[in-house]
Amino acid sequence: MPSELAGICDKNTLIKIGNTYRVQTGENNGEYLEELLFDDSELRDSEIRIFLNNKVIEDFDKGNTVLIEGWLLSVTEARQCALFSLLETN
Amino acid sequence: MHIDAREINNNTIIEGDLCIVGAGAAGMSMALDWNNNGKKVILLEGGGFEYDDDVQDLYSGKSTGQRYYPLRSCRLHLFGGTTGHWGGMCAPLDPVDFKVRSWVADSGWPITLDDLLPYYGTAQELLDLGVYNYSIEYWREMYSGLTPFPLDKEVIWSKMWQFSPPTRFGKKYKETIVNSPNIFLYTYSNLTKIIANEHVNHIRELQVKNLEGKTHRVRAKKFVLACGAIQNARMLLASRGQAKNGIGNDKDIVGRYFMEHLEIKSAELWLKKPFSTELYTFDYSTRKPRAELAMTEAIQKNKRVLNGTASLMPLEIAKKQIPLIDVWSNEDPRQSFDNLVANLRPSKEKSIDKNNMNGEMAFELFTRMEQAPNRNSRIILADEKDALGIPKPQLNWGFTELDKYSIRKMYHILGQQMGKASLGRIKLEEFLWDENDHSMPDHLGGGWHHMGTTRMSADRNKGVVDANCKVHGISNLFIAGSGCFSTAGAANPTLTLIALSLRLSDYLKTS
Repeated sequence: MPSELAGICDKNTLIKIGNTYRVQTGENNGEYLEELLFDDSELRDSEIRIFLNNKVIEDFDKGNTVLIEGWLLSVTEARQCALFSLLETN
Repeated sequence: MHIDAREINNNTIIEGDLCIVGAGAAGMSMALDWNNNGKKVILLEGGGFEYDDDVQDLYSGKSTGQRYYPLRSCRLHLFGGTTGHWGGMCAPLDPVDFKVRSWVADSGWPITLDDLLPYYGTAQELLDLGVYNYSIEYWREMYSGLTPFPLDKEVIWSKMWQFSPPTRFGKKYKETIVNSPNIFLYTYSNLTKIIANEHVNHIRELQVKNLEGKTHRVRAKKFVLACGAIQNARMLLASRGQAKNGIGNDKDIVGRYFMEHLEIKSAELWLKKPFSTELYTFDYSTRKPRAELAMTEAIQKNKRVLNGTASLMPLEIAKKQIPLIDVWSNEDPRQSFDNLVANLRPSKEKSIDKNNMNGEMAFELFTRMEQAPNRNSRIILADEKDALGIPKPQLNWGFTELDKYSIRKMYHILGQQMGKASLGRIKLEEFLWDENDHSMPDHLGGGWHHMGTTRMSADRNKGVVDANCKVHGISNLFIAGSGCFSTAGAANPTLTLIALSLRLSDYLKTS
């Protein structure tokens, strides 16, 4: 799950964000979401968090944002929520 | 000197060098500027020194369009005017407010901020404020712990506000005015007619009345209307005996371009970890300066948005607040004021309880934004008349698409910056979610700031007054106050309207 957002929103909110993101964007497939999130598939687990956090900041810097349930989010963290919501559903 | 116009002979002719109509912030500031200068100043006030329900009734009016505060209660009709219940928030306008902005129709003043700078200092003194300095750097030296959010300064800056006690002009300056050798204050003198010469290019005299049935005439070399944006427009429109659309209104601009500040709870800010927000917090006990988050001129231009700010309030307090438009709903200004104070009490108590001030991580973000100049947002005359026979004012408060777009965009910008700085996240209120919805919600409030109804422009086809606040086409009629504002800016208007009035005062002395 998105680490910064998880410090602000509870689990149910993250799932709701994820569900809404998937409906709004049609990015509904877990593998596809992972592909979008991890463009370097050789990252070690310990590097994933740093990689994604940096990607979130970069998203905000470039204006790569999306409005989900009122939350102004980085696309990366919205996708993380989407993936999280899929995993929770399954 | 004070004269009660109820007690002098009917049909008295009052004469002076300068006649100022209205003893509120604008009118009284000008009168005080003429104190002891040897010229005879007539200062007309429709009410008395104390609140009077029957006199206050003369301010009743109707509202169509967007819901607004009752016209009867959002202004005070007595000596001191609406300073009798204002909140004291003061900040100057920004340089961008005076500029022509290609994305804001009818923007641009015929003066710049530099033209007002010489007068802001005196305005500060009249309002019992400290030094005229609104830079964050200055206040960080004066007070410890004022730390701005580490956001990109090219995008977001911290605009400072200072707080007047608030100064009640009616109390503070009564003695000075009443004891002045050259200011002649006439209470219970309501302007009812503006009488011009045959060519309607020069004002000969004013007719004033009171509810006791007395009528008087006032003659002066120069006349200044300083009754507030709504009343000034109303009186120009109502003076239709010689000009069918009203005095100064041959271009159908009087009353148009009514502007308020768009004030509404707009978003939540959730911080990742505690951050001292003392810079942004209002301290009820000290009333020390505080900041609001503002957009730079560059980002306003880049994103084509209006000028506005976001203030912070701890979310647990904000959730107890009722929207201002619902709080200030009583036609009696005293009751509405009491309701407002009660609504602010939780915030005040939390501010005083300093143990609870630290460690807040969730805030309401409250917008104050200018509205775009809009011809169709206007004051007209209603069919109904008041007890003195003057048509009541009718407000149609209206907006353009740029207004809501700007509010929404501001929070997108702020959210982006908060995320980029890894400070936290912003959650927009639901009324801002749909980009295709341009309507304003019913709980939108204003700041009780009335502006633009006799706007300033060098072009008489676009304004009522010129750069010196003189009514176009009339040699000796001037208007003082925020009705002359061409655009509203993000700041509360009182400090600027006083500065503008002092500038007019200077001009009248030398012209």
